[in-house]
Amino acid sequence: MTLKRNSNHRFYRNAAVGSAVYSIFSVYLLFAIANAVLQKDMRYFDLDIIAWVILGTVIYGFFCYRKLRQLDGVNSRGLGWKLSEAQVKLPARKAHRRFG
Amino acid sequence: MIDTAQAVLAPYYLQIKFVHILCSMMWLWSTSVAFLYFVVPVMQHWRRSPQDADLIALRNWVLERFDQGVVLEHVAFPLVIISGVLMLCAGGWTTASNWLVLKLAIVCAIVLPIEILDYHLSHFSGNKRFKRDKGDEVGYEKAIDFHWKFLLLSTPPMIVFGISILYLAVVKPF
Repeated sequence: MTLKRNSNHRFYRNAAVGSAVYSIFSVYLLFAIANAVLQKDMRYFDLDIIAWVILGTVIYGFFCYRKLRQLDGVNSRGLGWKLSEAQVKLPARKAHRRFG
Repeated sequence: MIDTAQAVLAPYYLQIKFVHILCSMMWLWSTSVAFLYFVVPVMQHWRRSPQDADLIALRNWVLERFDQGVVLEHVAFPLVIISGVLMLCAGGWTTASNWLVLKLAIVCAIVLPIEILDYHLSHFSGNKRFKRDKGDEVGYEKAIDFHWKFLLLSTPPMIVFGISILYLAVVKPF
């Protein structure tokens, strides 16, 4: 199934939220639990630390959302060298001859 | 046994560190030019014109070449892990170093799952050339789609956490 461009960009939103929550919380929990178990240090479960983690998750989620859209070509600016249609078509014809 | 390994490896700590840093650089950056300057522009053009036969041919060529190009990264990654474990033994590092615990947490939670999936997509049953050789057209399209989704989803974490790993290892901030 090919990715469909979605007017409300649900794919990018869900992917960004999922990626941010999984990434930040899995790293945080592993780190905090490892410290609690191995060093008997519980300070990483303090509320102020958790608040920073949640803030980091939100910021990272926005970053993921923006990067996903840039990479997939929804936002015009972002990563990757922007090739014109002609620049893409030239190697495309060569590739087609060789591998098609 | 750990004491013996430490005694044997300790004189070679800097040499092991050299291998670790060299392989880390290979693992982090070896595919970046191919990804940014070949895969991304071609995939973006294909996404705008998904039925264009020329662009489909170019897309297939680029991703198949990318599957081969990641060999360097995937040779370096096990060497990073092995040299990292050897450095742990040789340097006598413990979990008292919080930077190390955080780095290992990132490796276990983010890097390892991404790399396992990347090995599968590039060298095992997700490999596009294998599917083309089998004549599996539907499987080929699914593999391309899955690989592009994987690249989309794994790029932001690799930008942030890849650089974080490097920062933690070099600066050792806490």
